[in-house]
Amino acid sequence: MCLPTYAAGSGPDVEVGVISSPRSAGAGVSFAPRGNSRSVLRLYADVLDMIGGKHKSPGVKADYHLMFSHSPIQVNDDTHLVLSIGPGVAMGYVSDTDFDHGFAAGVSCMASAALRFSRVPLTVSMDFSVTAGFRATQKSQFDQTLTLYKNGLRRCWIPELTIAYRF
Amino acid sequence: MMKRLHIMMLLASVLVPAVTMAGKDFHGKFHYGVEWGVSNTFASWTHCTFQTTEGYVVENRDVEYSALMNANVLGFVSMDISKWVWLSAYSGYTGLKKGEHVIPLTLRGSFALNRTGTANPGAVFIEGGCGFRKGARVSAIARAGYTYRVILSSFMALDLTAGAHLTFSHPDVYDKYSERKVPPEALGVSSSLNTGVFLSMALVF
Repeated sequence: MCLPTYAAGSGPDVEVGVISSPRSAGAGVSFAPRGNSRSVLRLYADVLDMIGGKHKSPGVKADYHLMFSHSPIQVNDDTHLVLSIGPGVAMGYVSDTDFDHGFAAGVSCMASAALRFSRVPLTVSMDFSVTAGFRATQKSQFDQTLTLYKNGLRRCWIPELTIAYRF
Repeated sequence: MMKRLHIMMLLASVLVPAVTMAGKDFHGKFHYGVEWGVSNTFASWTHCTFQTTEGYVVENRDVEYSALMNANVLGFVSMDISKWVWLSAYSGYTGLKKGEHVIPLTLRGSFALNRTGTANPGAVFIEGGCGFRKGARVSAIARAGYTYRVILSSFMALDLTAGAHLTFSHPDVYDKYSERKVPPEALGVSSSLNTGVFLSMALVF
């Protein structure tokens, strides 16, 4: 999600964007600038391994991050680069290295590099998020497992591209 | 690990030149970018013949309707022929229908809807090419649609595209009696004419 820093009250309050990536497809909103922090809430389909055909149905995942960023770097007359990072939480009903879906939850961290354009009220950002948590699956009444959510760690290198509109 | 490193290097090779070109006019002669999106092949007319393990010859003609969504991830290079015509070559990874994922190689001709060309948003396009899949004959791909271009910066634009596609492919055939994939030596004809729609977006540098 795009996360530019604005002085309180001077910048847009809300950004709404679409997320696309080999691991996720959905929407996100960032809001309420306070100092140099910004809240980012995302809801997306977990489509990891669907492009390759390993998984047939997507999971669903939501996360929240509180992002901190530095002052924007001017790339040219109409573009600024904003780098940001922040902690958060994530949860969802997702598949992992196996084929079953299960409930997963954990703590998360996201890093973002966003290009903010002044010609049009759009921001394009490339994000990387890592989730450390656990996943519970239930195949039957007597077959329940709680395991480390491996894809949250192993697939964090896959970038997520967000194109957001600034209101 | 090396695969991840290669992907990161590929991303860097796409983005770094774009950022370092900042300040130049976007309306140059050559561009490149990535396009991704989803497609739905809602109707397929299939025809197949094969020989069963018992020696019978089976012929099947069918019309399939599907709501399945496929993904497309493509890279492209484009060249402006004039202010209102440009050509683009695409390749990447795309799904034609259920169980058929190909590496396409297509050429797209885009025509701006006004004489100022790429400075303005609307363009229509036609596209044709082929798709390659391991163990299958080459598929034919044709697409047509409309692209709306948002110029983000002097070095970057966002294309929003919608259109229709028509493909002629050669899907794998499964013997419904033995529930196994028909081996190539027992397969006669396998063809499928598929039609559908697609939505995509692209970052153009």
